[in-house]
Amino acid sequence: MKRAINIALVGFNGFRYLNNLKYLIEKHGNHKFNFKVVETGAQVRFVNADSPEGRDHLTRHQPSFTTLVASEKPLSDSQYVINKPIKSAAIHQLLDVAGSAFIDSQHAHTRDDANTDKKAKQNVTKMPESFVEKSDKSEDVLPGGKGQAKEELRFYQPHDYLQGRILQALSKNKGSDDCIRFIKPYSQSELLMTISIADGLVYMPEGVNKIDKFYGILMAGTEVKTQIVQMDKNHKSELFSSGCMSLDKLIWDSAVGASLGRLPKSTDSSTTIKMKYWPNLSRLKLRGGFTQIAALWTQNSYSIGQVRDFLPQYSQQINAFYAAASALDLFEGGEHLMVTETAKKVDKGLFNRLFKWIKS
Amino acid sequence: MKNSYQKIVIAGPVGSGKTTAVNTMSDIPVVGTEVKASDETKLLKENTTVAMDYGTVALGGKQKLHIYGTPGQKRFDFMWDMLGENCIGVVLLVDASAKDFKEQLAFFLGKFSDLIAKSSLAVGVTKTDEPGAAQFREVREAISEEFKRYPVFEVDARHKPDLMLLVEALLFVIDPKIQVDVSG
Ligand SMILES: Nc1nc2c(ncn2[C@@H]2O[C@H](COP(=O)(O)OP(=O)(O)OP(=O)(O)O)[C@@H](O)[C@H]2O)c(=O)[nH]1
Ligand SMILES: [Mg+2]
Repeated sequence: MKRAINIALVGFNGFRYLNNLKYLIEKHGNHKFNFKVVETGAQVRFVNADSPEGRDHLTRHQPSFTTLVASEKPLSDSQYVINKPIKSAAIHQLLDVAGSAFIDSQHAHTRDDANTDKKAKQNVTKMPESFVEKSDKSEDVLPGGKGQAKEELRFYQPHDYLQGRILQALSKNKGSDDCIRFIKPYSQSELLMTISIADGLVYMPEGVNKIDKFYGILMAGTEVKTQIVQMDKNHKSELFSSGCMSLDKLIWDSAVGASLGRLPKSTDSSTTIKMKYWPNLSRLKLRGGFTQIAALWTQNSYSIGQVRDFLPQYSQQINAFYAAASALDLFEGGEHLMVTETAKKVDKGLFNRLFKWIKS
Repeated sequence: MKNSYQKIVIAGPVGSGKTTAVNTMSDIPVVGTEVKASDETKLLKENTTVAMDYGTVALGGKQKLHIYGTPGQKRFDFMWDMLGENCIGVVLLVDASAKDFKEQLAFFLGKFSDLIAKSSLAVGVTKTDEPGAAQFREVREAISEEFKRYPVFEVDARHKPDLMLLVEALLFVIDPKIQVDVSG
């Protein structure tokens, strides 16, 4: 019997769009795929590289048989990437390759990757033209990333996300001894979390691991209800005793989750800025490059553009880092600060070995 | 061989987790000099380090990283000076559950300031999970202005990823623009 593989779609939005893809995926004959709306429990992800969510996902995962990618521009010659507009034949080919690789990986952990890759590639290039779906439905499903879409990939409006709602509630109640209760979006009374402003702690009735999924949800035009509550000392210390999240972590993580590699709207990338101190990176949502980005901005003043020039491979992570660090108010203007090159001469060989050890 | 001898020094007050950290990072069982604590240290913990902890990490290509945990008791501070040669940086561990963490921070940052200026620093705040411990941000705020550019993270000395992140940050402080190449 064929075992079903759970597949989640990342960054494909719109009802019709999802339904078309679902149809294509479930119609696939050689392997059985279960379609998942959320990533939880998914064994394979199909990623829209041209969406903020997809781009963010790809900063952490390379295309592979568990990370299948559809992209407007050719990304790489990996057989796990297909070009848009998505054609049913191409997606079925992709699912074939991925499905086999997935089953293989379940059977044997040691596999000759190179061989499988070669075979798979041959298969892909052998695709007869006649299989290609000509309908304009596929175009309609995956709009070409022009104009507005491009803008959407570079900037986001924090207020449209939980991040912005939290910061807004906090700025209205600065220095208060009270607590702020947040009601779940799209709900009347279900408690999402309670923030103790003075203690910098957040209580979440469902536990701190369940909040993640709210960070990336677009809430434009949606009300997120908040209530100010007064609590006596005892009640507070009981509620915020253990298993709480620090408010700094909530702000940082929600900003990274909303940013998805984009900058907050109307950020100026040419202003020189510097960080007042390091964020507590060991307890915050981390992305590749964050430690180095933090080092740059704590040792000297740079504009976002300059940091991007030093670390071009991390341009999305730089945006996410900036979004989170500015949400925590970690930046100060750097114009008056001296820009001196103080880096010590380092033994590059030794450093590369040390970094290799750290990553091992 | 030039540069084949490099070390990281783990410093900090009694019970802040230095021996534990060296153990967590080292490839080899740690050569320690723990004894049953006597005098005022006994009130704090069972065993204490009297000379130093020593561990190594093989980095490949004959290169080795040497990790030294200094004894936390102040009467051994003559040993701290011996550790400065070829030092990449200092990892300072601070115990958030110690009532006098502010004084401890000031004391150790003062003692090691010359070495830090010559190398690098990363501060790990341990035991924030202990009942009655200071909040992480209180500890961070207690660090004086001149050290604000150095990384300060909450860590558990038993948790390897926490320590690795501290070391990574310590390295990037030395050269934030380094183009890392871990392929070789
Ligand atoms: N709860 C808690 N315990 C920790 C943490 N980090 C380390 N410990 C424990 O705290 C104790 C620290 O002891 P050591 O590692 O011996 O401390 P030390 O700094 O070497 O002390 P001296 O040698 O006496 O200077 C050990 O029992 C660790 O398991 C932490 O983050 N939380
Ligand atoms: Mg010790």
